[in-house]
Amino acid sequence: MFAKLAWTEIKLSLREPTVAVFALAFPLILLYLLLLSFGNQPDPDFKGENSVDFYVPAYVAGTIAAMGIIAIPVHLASYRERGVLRRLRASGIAPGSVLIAQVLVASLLVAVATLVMLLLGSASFELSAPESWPIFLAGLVLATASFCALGVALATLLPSARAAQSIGLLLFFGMFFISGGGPPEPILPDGVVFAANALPMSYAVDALQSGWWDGNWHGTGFAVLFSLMIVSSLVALRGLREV
Amino acid sequence: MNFTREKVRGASSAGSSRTVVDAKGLQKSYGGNVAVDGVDLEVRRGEIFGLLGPNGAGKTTTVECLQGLRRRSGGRVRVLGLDPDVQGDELRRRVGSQLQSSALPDRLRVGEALELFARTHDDTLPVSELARRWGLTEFIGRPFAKLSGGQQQRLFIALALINRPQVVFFDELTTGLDPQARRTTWELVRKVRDEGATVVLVTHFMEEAENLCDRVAIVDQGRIAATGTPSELVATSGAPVRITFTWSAAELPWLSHVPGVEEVSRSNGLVVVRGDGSLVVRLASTLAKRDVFPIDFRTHYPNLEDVFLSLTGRNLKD
Repeated sequence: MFAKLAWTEIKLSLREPTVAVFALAFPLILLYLLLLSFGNQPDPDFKGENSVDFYVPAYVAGTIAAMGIIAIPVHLASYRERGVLRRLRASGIAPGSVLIAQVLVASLLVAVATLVMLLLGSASFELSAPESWPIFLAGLVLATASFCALGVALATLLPSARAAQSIGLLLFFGMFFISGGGPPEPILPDGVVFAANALPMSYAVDALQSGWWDGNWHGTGFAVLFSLMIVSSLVALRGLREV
Repeated sequence: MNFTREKVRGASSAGSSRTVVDAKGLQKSYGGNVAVDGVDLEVRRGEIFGLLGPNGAGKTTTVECLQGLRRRSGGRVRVLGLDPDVQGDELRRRVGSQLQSSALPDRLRVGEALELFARTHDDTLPVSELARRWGLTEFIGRPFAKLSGGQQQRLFIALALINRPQVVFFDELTTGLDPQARRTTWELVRKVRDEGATVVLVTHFMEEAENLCDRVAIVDQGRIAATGTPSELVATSGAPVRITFTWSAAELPWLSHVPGVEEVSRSNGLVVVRGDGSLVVRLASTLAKRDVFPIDFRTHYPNLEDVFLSLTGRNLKD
């Protein structure tokens, strides 16, 4: 039954243009634009990396954040608001399994987006291979898990799909452009860096970039992502009881 | 081994063979708000049972408690012999459900919805047969959002019946449908019952309860005001029968002396007589004896709306 539900959710997400736009089109177009604008030399503004090695891991993190902060909450909040979750539950499909199916869909989209960005970076912009694949992949999995948990938690807290959409968009763009999706940290003013450090996406960027560039575990990044995952899961479990 | 099994089966069906839903003192409150305030219900196998009442009377909360979709705050409830708060999963496998104000994902297609819901049960009707029976075959590839109100309701009925349920709950099944689609839906509900399921129907349409239900419980402010067949409810409510006819030729002073008459009024030749159920025949024969033959003699029997008014002092539509 769960396989059928997950497969149905995958098909539905492919028919939902918002998700495809935020997961694939938006990060790719922006990434391409930035990489075409900046030269491909190591630059202190990019922490000594060239632009493609700086931005590809950052945009992977950005895609993960978009899934967790926009796609999942909007989708689930609309299911809850319109009575889809109640309808499914009345026929023996538990809300929990709908959430898990949705997290699975988001993870698949992240995987596809990451693959496309890596291929594009290598083919057109001399992207170097990650210094440590295991650490990069570990960062990828943990970041995806914690942002999906955050998304489910937001879905249980926000009153409606409309609220999820406006708050999600505001939160996402505010965070995305100061956390590695826009100008790199070394040229941002101190206040903005402070704000970025208060938001979770910069830690996903740190964890992914650190594994990519130096093959090092970024202790703070992993610790913050892990805590985010635990706290969000607890909030989500609490909220689930009241669906 | 065999013997024990037989015995258990016999025991479980003996007490509950006729009673499908049994609720005593069902209560549900949210914080300090009492939505359902001591409801007693007994639904018998094979009937169409209606819960009739205005919006906010507690009908939906009641049937959601019966299905274990909400935990009751008090009282005793058994549906098919199961306690919905304890054996909810088991119960939901054996009942069918159409919920008020629920929906499916906009882009989910009819066929996909049927396939998905078919997976939730072991013993389901074949999807193609269900689609054919409920007239969904031609919409099988259409997304939920592109279906008309009537088509969506047909899909919900098909989904509610997919697991061959013993009891089906329909909550405001025909709200938002035009009169034609409503009548078609009533036929479908009768078909469901004729095929062996017990139907519990929530409605705020007097006409629906009167036309469709074998027995009706009138719900008001979280309580059951009365239960019975529609004609029993009408007969015992004390709501008067009304007779109207036009007669301008002469005064009819003897009208108020006809047995059973409670009230006579006359304006512009239109005579209105109110009284108990025996009045119709008595009045007609009296008029005939006195050579009064109005051409528009009309009888207006009370309906469930009048019953509701006389039981609660309020209008059903408020």
